[in-house]
Amino acid sequence: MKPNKKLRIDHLIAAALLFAMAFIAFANVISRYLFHFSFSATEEITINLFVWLTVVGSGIAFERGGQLGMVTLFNVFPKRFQKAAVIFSALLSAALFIIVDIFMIQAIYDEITLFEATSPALGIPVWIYYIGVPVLSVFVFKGIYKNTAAQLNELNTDQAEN
Amino acid sequence: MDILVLTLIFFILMLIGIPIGTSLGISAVITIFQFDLGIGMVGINFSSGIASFPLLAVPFFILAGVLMDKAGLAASIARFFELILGKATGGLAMVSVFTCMFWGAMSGSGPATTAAVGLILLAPMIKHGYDKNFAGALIANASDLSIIIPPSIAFIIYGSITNVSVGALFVAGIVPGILTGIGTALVAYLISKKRGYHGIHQRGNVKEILKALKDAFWAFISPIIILGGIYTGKFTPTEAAVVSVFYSLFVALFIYRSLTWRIFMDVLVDAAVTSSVIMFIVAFAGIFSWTASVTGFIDQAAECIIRISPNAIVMIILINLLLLVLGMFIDAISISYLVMPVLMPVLQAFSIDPLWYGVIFITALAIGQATPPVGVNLFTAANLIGGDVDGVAKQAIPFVLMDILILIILTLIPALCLYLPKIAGLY
Repeated sequence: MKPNKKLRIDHLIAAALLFAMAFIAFANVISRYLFHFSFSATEEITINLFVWLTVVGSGIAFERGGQLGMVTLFNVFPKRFQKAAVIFSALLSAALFIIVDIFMIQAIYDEITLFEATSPALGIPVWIYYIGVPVLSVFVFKGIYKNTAAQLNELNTDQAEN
Repeated sequence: MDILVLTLIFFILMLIGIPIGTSLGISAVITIFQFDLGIGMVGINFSSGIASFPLLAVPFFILAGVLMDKAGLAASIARFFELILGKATGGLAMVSVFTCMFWGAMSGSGPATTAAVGLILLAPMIKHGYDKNFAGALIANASDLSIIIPPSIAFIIYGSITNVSVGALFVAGIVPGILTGIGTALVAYLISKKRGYHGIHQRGNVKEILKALKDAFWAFISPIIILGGIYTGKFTPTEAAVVSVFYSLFVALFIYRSLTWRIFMDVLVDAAVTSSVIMFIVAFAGIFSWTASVTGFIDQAAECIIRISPNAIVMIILINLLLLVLGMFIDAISISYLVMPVLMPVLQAFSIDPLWYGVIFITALAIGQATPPVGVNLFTAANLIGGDVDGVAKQAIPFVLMDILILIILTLIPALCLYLPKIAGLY
């Protein structure tokens, strides 16, 4: 990976989330083994930050073209098919996150107006944990868009060269 | 619409190069919608598929691996083995195998090991007259099999799907991991002897070796902390993972002094992305297998498989063959989610031990990943040597044959996997 000069907001969020998760988990281990004092209720925070991390990280992974997929067949497609497949793939990935977001927002709305459920360990309203998914998925859409643009660009230049 | 049609949709999406996570998610969403299974739960299911304490070991082990890589620990491990083994026939080849093994004992992922060790050892091997495709194939294979050596992300995922203790799986992987390492080193030695790949220089003297040992000391301690903690029951795998994160951070900051804020930032981002690539698949694969299960597809598929043969060994051989083929095309994590839910009832019907089977399963998948024509690790290796995959793939064949031999031995002698977890009281 090239070290980029400017700090990017998505990178910053991903790094902060991962470090926070590791730090909380480590503090837990230390306090349990050294001081025989457990605040394992914070585990709840760690695993929910993990969900947020996955959303931000997926966005960066999309942008870097790093999502795992089978490219064997794709590589032998004619260029026009490849372009179509790239666009189709972007639309499906975006659609998937839109669906997740819609029902997540629905769940948040229900929680705030109706259920008002709180988390089992810390008593935090659960919608606070939920809200990271739709908010952070902005970076997923951005990543999908950037990668698709880059891939199409590359396919176009290839075509121009041939 | 029949559930088979939906499975077909998944395979078509995957074949045209749609990311596997997206393919799984979209076909699951269509199924949920079609069978009216409660589409409103998709959001919550996505998040609950990720929010699990055992799975936290995934980002933590990845982070620890990236940290140690950036700290430069791989180079000092390689240096130590070079001073001891470098002079022997095929010396550098064997140095590569043992470095991969040790790296595998600190990092949990195959391609990451290929990249870390490959960057250090490929160039010297090629410089000393090794065929570059052979060198690439060797490192791809050795790193791939290193996923059997704990800690291993593949085991964490297997444990999370099957509810087998990840700690027990880690300990069960120790002996098979060492066996495959020795097997790979043996093949490397025999080929080197035949082709006349000589050793590099005089063996290091005691003073040099001690110095190298001192430099690599912090690296060698790491597996002892991770595995020792799990083996003695002090840590869960997730706790061991987070301890190894802070251990590597300590080593990088204070021993090797190779960490700046800027690098640390990149390390965190890289680890976050690598972990997310896995968790993206895990989240949607979870929804996918849930839909396959409530629609009764898994039971039907399992029944079909059980009817194929009444003999457990025949069954395992057939499944292994299937896994080897799948592993050539798809990554180990996706396969685990696609195959394990169906296999669990099958294992039960044949009273096959799921802990022992976990090692067999992951070994078979690992072999697939290092096998022509596709094999994800072969790609990483081909990239590093600037060659093409076909050339590397051809050289990988003898290693794959050895791996299959070891897989057969592990299948025939379950004690190789089960003895350690049993005496550790983990199983």
